[in-house]
Amino acid sequence: MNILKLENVSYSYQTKYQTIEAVKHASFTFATGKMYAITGESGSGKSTLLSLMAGLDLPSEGHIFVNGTDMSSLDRDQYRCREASVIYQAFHLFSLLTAKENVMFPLELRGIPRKEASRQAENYLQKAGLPEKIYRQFPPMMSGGEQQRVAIARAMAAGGKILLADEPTGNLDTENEKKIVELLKAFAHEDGCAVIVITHNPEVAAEADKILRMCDGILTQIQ
Amino acid sequence: MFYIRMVLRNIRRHKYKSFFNMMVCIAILGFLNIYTGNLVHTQEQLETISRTIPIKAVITNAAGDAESGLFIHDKRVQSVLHSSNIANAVFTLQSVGYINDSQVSLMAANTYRAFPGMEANNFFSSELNECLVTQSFLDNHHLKVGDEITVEQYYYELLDYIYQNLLPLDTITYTISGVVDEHVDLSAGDSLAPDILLPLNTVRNIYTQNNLTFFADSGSFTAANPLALNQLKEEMHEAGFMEVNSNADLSLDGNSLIIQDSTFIQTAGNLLKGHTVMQNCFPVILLLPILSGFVSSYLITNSRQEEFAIMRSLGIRKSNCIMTFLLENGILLLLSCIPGALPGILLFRIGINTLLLNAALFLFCYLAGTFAALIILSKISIVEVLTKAD
Repeated sequence: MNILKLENVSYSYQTKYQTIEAVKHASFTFATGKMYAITGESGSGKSTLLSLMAGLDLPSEGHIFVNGTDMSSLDRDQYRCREASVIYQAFHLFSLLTAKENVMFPLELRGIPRKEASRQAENYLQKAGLPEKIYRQFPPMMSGGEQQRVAIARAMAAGGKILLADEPTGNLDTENEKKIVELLKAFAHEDGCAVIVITHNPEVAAEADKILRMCDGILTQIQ
Repeated sequence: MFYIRMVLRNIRRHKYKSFFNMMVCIAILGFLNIYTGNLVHTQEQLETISRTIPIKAVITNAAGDAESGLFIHDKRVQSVLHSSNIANAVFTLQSVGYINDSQVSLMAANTYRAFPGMEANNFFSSELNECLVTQSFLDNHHLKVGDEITVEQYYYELLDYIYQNLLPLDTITYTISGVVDEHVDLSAGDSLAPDILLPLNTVRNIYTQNNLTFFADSGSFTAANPLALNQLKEEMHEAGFMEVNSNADLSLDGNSLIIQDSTFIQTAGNLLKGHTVMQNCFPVILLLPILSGFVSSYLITNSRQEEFAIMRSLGIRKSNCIMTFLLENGILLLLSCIPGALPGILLFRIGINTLLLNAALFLFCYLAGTFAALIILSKISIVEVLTKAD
């Protein structure tokens, strides 16, 4: 099922000296149940495109449709709360919340009672392959791989059908990289989400169902 | 409920930042309370200065070199006694008399205050023919309290302003209504201790009955309201009192006033000056919580940029993020109000109303500063913050 559609999306911004065209006329449709990889050199516009898809910014030109609705007419806070989750290379967990509290956060934000949120959070952490001893640990006490799994569990808990991942394995060793990729694949194939991974790692990209490439702001499908 | 829980958890988990924030708040609120406590205290001092530093006035002759043995005209005496600007007026009149050819000294006064050490009593406001006597007088004349004495009373007449002539006044029978305690100083001023004390009004009535103008021989009083000193001076001027002139001719006419107001004017002037300065500086002082609210909140929230960005990326509205941070600060401010009130209470015993007003002003100003800092924080690029560490 198509969930996210880019239609002739462009994004430019003004620096002191020039106008930068970060994304140029990108068009693509993302469907649920698939994992996508967007590759490209640093500065090619991958992260900018991801922030547009996450509703953190609006395109200068073109449209992004979420389930057929133009994002510009959507409540983008609600969109991030209920439809799309983002995970980052630096994990960005609340450092003063435990692993479980981090996962409970989006659940409680959606109004799920604390007790139920706690139960669901444990399920998601378990699904992310984290041992129980991690649940009460604070992020600085965890390894990079564990933190990224908590971030993925938090994204799962948000309950959206779109997961945007910006270099999710960039800070991880090979072993953890494989585990995270497996988790993301499972999230797409088993939970029926559209997983869009920004990466410049060819091994991660190779695991995706479809690979797209950003070059100088232009998005093309290469596989 | 979720947000309240989050706020309380944040306060608990960001314990060092919360502690720092509270310390800043306590320091500023403490300063604010000390400042307003000082202001209120100065205001109270200004209001009570008339009691703590009374302005005394003494009736003298024109040259100001005699305070007793004067002739203070009844018109002036009555002006002083009936003035609302005057408190504790004291008038006396000394004379002599004879009891069975034995000379006795008499002193009339309008108040017990004329005699240092005497306990408060109503005897001197009486108009009856009664008197107080010394124990030695009783012993010498073999009398007791309740007996009557007949006094051939004399008065002083003023001639050419400087000469006194002793003339018979009347023969009056007085009832001895009490004995003066031994510790009472009857020789007030430079006069000799009298044998018999009389109420001034009684003596005044005797003068009237004998068609004579009454004169007191000494007078003093205090200003009822030192802050209305000019009004008092004007009233006394209208009553016929003049300022002392050291070049004036020798005279026994009690027509001048020495008002001992220099200490009061200096003290009140200093207090008023300090009070005015503090009052005028108060709006500037209020900038302190605003600025510190802004600076400390800016520093604290700036260090929590990532947290703010994560909250935003998880879909929490900007307004809710700001409210959460504001609430967090608000709770810390409220908690700071109790220790922040202590300096004001301990040093100046400031009242609950002032404390509440200060706390409200402080809360408003500090949160205004915090709000400004949060508005700046809310303008950060979420993407930039979240990709910065990547």
